[in-house]
Amino acid sequence: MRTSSLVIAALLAGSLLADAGQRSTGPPVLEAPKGTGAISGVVTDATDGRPLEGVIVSLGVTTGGSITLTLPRMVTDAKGRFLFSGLAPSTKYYIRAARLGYAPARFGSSGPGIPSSLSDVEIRTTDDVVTIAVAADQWIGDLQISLWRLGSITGRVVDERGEPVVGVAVRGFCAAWVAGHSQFVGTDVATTDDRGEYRLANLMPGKYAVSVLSVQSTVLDSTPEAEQKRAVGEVLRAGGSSAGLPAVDVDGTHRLAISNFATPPPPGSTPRAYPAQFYPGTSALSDAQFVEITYGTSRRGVDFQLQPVPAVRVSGRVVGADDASSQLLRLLPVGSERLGFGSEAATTVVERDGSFTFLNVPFGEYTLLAQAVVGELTSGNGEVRLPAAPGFSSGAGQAPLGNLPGLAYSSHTGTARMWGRARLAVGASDVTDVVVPLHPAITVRGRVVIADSASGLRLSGLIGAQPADGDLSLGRFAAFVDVNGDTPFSLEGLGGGVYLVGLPSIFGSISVASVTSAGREIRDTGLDTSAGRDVNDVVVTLTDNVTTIQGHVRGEGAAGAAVIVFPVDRARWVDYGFDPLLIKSKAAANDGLFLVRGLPEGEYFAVAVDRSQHDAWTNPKFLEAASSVATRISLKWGDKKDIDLPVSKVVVR
Amino acid sequence: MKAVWIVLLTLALAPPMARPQGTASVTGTVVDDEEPAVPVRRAIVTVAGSGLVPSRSAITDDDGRFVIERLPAGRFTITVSRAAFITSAYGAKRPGRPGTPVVVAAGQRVTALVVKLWRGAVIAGVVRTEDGQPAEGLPVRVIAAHQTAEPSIVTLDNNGVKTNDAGEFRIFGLLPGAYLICVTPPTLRGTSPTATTEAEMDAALAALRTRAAASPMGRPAPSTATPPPAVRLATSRPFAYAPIYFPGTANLNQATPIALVPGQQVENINLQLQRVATASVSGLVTLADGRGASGASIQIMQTQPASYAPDAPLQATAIALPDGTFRIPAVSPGDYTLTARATPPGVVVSSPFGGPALWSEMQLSVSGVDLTGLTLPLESGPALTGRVAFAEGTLKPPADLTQWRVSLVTLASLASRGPVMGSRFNPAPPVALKADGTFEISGIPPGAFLFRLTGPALGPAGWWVRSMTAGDRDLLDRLIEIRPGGPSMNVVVSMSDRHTELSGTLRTSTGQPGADVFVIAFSSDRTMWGPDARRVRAVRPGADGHFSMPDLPPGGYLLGVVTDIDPDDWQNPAVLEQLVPTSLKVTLGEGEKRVQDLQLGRS
Repeated sequence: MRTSSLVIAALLAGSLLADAGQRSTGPPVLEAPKGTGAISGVVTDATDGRPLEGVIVSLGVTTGGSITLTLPRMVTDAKGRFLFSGLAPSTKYYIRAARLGYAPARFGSSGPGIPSSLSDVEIRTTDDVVTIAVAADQWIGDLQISLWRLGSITGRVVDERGEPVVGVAVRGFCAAWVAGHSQFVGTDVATTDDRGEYRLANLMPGKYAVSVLSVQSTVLDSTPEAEQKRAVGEVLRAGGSSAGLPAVDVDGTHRLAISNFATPPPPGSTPRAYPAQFYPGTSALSDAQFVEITYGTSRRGVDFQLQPVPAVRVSGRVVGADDASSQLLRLLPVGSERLGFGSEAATTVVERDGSFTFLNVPFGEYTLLAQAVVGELTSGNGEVRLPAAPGFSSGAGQAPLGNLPGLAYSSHTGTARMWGRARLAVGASDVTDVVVPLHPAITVRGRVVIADSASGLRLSGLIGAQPADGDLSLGRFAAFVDVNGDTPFSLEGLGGGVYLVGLPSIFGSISVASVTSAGREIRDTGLDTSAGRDVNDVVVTLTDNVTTIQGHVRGEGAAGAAVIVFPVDRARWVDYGFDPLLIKSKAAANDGLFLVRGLPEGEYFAVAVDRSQHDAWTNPKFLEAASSVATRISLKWGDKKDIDLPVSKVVVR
Repeated sequence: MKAVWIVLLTLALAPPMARPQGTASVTGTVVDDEEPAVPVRRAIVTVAGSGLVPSRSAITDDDGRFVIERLPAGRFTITVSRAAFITSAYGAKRPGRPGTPVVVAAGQRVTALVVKLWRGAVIAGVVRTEDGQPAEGLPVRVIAAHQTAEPSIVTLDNNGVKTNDAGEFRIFGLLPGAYLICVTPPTLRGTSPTATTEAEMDAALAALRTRAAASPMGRPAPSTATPPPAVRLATSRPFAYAPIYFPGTANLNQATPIALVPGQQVENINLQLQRVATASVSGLVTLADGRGASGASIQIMQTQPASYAPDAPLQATAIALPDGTFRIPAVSPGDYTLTARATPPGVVVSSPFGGPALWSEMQLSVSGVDLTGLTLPLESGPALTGRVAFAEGTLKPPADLTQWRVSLVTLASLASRGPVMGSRFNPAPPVALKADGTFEISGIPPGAFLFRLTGPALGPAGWWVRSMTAGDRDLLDRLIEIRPGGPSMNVVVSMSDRHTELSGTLRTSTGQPGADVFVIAFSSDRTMWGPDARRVRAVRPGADGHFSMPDLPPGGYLLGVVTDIDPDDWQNPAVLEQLVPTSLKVTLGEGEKRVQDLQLGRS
């Protein structure tokens, strides 16, 4: 039997496709293996251990750094069993299981993957894939794969009269470790139905703040009607569209767009707005009560009663830019700056003369943001999302973040390329004459060079800049380069902050030797653009003379272990952006073998832990605890180190 | 109707005008459809029409009242929307029907309008897997099952509802009517998974245990002379999940429509996924000389009842190998149309659509057993050549005809409110006229089409399509049937600048303007009735009783008045037949502007 194969190049995931001396010439086609090996096992519900029927089990072979091929698939029988037979010898088999209502899982993984439907296409690097070795005639029996049901939160939204509020956006926010800092990350957006009920589903375990979103979007009367409806807040579903409500007249110049938020009372002489509300009934994230979700938890009764509050008009002008017309301005409650689209109290656009007006702003403390690029982290699968505001391109990138487990990022690029930030307090009366200084987006230019290549390295891939502390409101940038010797690059649209420049995604066969600007090494500390000026002298030096650490995890638990290698310098445990160059986490194979490639020269700790702690490195406190039991390694470029590691118990206090 | 619609679209692209401002105002109240009616708060009222761009909108207060000011004089429609309600127009008799335009004079204060807002109906339920577990993330579609004349037209409604993690779905804000519910299971991309029985799994595992017993390590010693027996799951079959229609059938013909009255909530629509055995479909695509057609594209589409035609999901596509053979794996049971398309040998193609093409089509039935040895002989798709001729009149023929486009459209694409699924073989992309007004549409796929013409100078003040003939056949009001190998056609499209208009004022028996009705004009030639007919038109008179129908083709008409009619009924010959006895005969001459006043209920 000839079976079709699936090929997913790493490039699709926004990472780098590199090859020493050669390029791949097309998708490899894999014949169904002919042999006498066999793999069998059982799929169970992780919560109650019950065998699961109807699970689609896929057998794959990992090849190279991040390309996976999918081989035959079968569905489990009534006892949850699966069997692949007639297999050729290979050390690179892996197994993935998926069933409706459960998060898909791979054999040996520490937890479920990002929720998706029964998709068999998987775009991942192979860092945490546990491979299965099958020799000739060997039968690997009794594999156990657990599938997790994810959690959900349901509730009802009513207004001050107790009537259901229909079609409004509700979102959960869960604390996640980003660049070594705890940051709130939004889930997919849910909307209330005709009874006012919502359901946030596919929630990974964690503590969630839940919010009824409410953005007062001001659009100009002169904006085309279709775009008015598309003001921040119209919830989109993948593959679907929503008709949207018309924006309502306020003063003949400005209109208020309603879309997926509670319709306020008519904007008459005493305007009122429904402010965004966190459960239970508070307007500040810091006062929110967290809803704890574990695998399979359904938490009900997370209800909201919305109350209209007096609202005022906030107006002013932008300075420092010749033409900022159509620049989006976002007014975010202090503390909500990183929560992404939909968490604004109000939005508006700059008019031709540089003036701006926010309608219907409730009292509170706000940060006003003007951005050339808006990015956000999400923990959902992106099926229901808030679109970009008017003036922001809808071709937003959304991709999994290779090294932030369970998280994805999306970013939107504006038509006006300005950055600015201001603080303001809104009380009981209109605010006028707010002055917001803007500066044009920053361009970072430089060169990519290759050092010490033994094999005539050439690469096509991405050079990027990402905020060191993980604040995606600074955007995430990448430019495609075809490196052949000494190649210029240019990254456009940056704001003022500290960015790490280099490879946006780390790939085993290549590493970053150094990044310099103004004669200083900035690879790990970042490029500070807060002066607001372009930078033209960045030199990124890549090398394929990479380091390799390999060995076995020994002792009890070796087959279910993961190896984490991290730097000795604790300053590098935070502020490494989304893809730490100096930290690697790899699952060991079922015989304990592990291989870590591509770490730069330096001093490291290596530790083997239970696979359930595969992603624990994101918490600096874990690294602190692990450093006391870890093995110290000193790496020089090109080193190949052999080490064996015992399984250690690391307890985070 | 659609021809007019296309023209209106062209006009809407005109550069934006100065925003009209005036001194008139409209005030009123929005109420729901309960008895007694309750005011609806927080509804959005929109006034549109008479060049009011953008339209004006206001929110109702806690007593359902709205105020819209600074209106210029004009004729406006007033619509009200609120989530979970059906967007309703002022004056509409039933949910979803057109309303009565409101005429506003300069400075006039129109007060005390009452707009009724109907609550939408709801369909809700749960989708489960074969073993009764909730099926999460599956798209649930509502298909309006409104059956009209043959060939029937259906519209697609929602596209975006998915079951949640409890398997639940809830679709609200639906218009009253009959609906089919369809759950579309995940497409299993790539290799089709296989399923096996418990007994066979037991046997295979027992065989492996026996084999392993020969060596305690689960691995025979290298010196084993005879290779171990191969263990295979011999009876495992590839399968797919079939789309399920309520009340639980994979066969669309056995689906039961759910009838909803306004505001009705039907909450027990439960469905269970079904695994079905799939089969492969394979065969040979041949050229006229019997050689295999290398690289031909093949698509297989479920054949569905004519009444649901636009919704046929595309099942699969394949490309013929160099020897002309093809194989489509994993086809679910059902009736299918298999279509092959190829570029004639020696022709260089610049676009995947349009241009000369060879076609073949066959019907087949799949039921879990592989179909092999099918033969698809390709034949030339007929070409439609012709020219556009402009009658002598007051207007000069357009200078640049290359801006004009001719196209063939399917009824499905006209009827669908959503995207038309089902065909990757785009029937015929619009073709530009040559400078001399001639055109050629080649490679037309098999099917039935309507001819359409678009251009910058079409419209009430420009040109309109008077006739389209091939020999003595008029193609404009009839479907053009295209079969592979059929004859090519030469067509003359006659354009005229003499516009007709049938207008008048409708009064009630007491002499008041008649507004809450439809005026319908339909051809006295019954062969001109049918879907998308140019010679059937229904309009709603304004509050002043005035109605107008521009650009009806010259000919004999019947003019009737009905209190309420579903837009789809205009296309239903049976409904029109009922109107014949109470209708008035009028004849519209070439370029005639005919005024025909009507009075209701004389006794």
